[in-house]
Amino acid sequence: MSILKLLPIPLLALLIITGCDNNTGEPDNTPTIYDSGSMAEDCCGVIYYQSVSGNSPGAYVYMVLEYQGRAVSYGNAVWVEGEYTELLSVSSAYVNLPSEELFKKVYMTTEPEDIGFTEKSHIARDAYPVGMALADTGCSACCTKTLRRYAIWAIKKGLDSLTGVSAEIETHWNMLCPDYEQHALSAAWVGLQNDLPPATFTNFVQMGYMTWRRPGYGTDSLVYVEFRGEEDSADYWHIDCSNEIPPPYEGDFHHYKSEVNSSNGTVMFWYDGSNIYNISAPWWSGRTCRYPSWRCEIDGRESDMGGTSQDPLYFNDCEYRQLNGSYQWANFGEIDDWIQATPQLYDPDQWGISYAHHSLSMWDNYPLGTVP
Amino acid sequence: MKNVLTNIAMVLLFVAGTMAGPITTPEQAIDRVLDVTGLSRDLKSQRGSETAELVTYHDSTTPFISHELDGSSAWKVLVDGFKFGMDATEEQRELDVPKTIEAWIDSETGKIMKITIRQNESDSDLVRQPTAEESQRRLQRAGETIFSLAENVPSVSMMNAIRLCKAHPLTAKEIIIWYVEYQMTNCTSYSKRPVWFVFMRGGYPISPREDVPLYMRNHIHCVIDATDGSLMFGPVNGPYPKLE
Repeated sequence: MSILKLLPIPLLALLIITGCDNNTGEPDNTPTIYDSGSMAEDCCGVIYYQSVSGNSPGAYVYMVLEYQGRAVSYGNAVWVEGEYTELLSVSSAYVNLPSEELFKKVYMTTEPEDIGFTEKSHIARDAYPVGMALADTGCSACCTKTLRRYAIWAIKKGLDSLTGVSAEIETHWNMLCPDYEQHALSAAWVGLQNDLPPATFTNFVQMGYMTWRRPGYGTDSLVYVEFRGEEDSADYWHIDCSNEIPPPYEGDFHHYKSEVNSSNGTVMFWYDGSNIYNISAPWWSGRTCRYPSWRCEIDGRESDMGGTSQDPLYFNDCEYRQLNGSYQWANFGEIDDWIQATPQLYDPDQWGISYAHHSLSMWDNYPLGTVP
Repeated sequence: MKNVLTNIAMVLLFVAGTMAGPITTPEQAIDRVLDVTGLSRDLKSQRGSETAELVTYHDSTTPFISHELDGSSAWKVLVDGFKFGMDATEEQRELDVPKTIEAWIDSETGKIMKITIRQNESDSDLVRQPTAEESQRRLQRAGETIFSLAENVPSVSMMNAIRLCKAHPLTAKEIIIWYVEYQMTNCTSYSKRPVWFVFMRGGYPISPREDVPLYMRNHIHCVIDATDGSLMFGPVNGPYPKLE
């Protein structure tokens, strides 16, 4: 009789899992996965849990589901330091793929901006199969959360020394996913940023509008400005523009502009041509941004993004400005431009984006009330 | 509807006039606080008991004027068991837990020095209050200046100012309110005037950006014109302390 048959199932599972260990060359802070994980039904799928433990000098740990080597769902990252035991989770919601081909992986990274970039994160353990059936994904009465927000964006790459970005954005006060116990938002904005999505930890300047639900407190629809400066990211501003700007009407177009004045360290915002705020931001003195961005964004996977295929949300007159220059048209479609929606492996056509010259249109193919 | 009418009545009750003059008895101190805040005596259901005592007021957190206030003789008025009692959903009513109001009144001038509304349950997640210097630096960046304590009786009560703030007072662990002479010099500038400076700490964050530490998002202030109730600035996050 094989000795394996004498072992209790949990211990057997432990041996199988640790047998997947690719320990070669990995640092000492690699977490130990000490059980085979468990699962629970989410409203739109299955949440997989996995216990990890170890001793870390300080790092983020997170779990992903992978399909054919590509991450298709991300769990929330957890900071671990010293002796730790953490329960990681990742949801299969809307990952409409055969479970036998899905693999859980645990990743570690010390850099918060590398969270979600699996190629930059250290693989804590080799992949091992999920091996569990996935639930029906035909659900819309929830707010699927993942590590990243979902977005449709247009970004001009290959630029530098940026100091301004603007567009005329159509107002669409979108429906939010209907789980009122969950945060959710739908937003549209223009901004300057110093990194590329999904990382959002470094410095940025942006302005737009959002519908945002806070559980237990209802939903706000507002125009807002937001920016971040300082080396240690300790300088963060978010201004609800309600004192200056009432929420615009559905379907109306308004002009939004965000600027950095690098000569005196000031961040400036305009709405319909009126300069509404100038905030002193010494860190920005002598600094500029790398990427202009025009974006729709949602939190809660089922929230409506942009407009609909019949009535898209338009960004018109998209412009950017470089240091000591004047505003110039975005001219989308140049070789380095990056124009796309958050990739959805199960359905790459969930969100749509189209562009021509200086305009963008963005839409949700499955707005609430329709069947994905 | 009843609350709406009450609010309107509370606004109309306040007429411009000076608060100047010494406060000599605990009863006067309590009356001053109840009048200025809007917690008039006929709203007994919103509060428990009130007490007042003469103290030396110590201040290290009021931006711009902390050094002028520190060491003053003040009446400290305590109102316990306070609830906002706002028009609210069932969930919001559950959030309306009993709170304690502390108010300090300059005993010689009768001016309101500071009012705090604090949830009775302690919250270990609430970071320290920013110092006067930290707050002042933050406010100056947006063109905000506080000159002095305000003298005239406000036309808008403190409770109405909190309602007009467009933030989430029910969730705040602590609300600090200053009634001050204030000026905003930004793209839209406002001349010096009496305002309610409402500073909420520890409640719902103003921004959903989870990659920014919570304490940077759940310190929120707004400024309400005490003469007409208009929202002059905000809600805006900060000031928050500089943590190591």
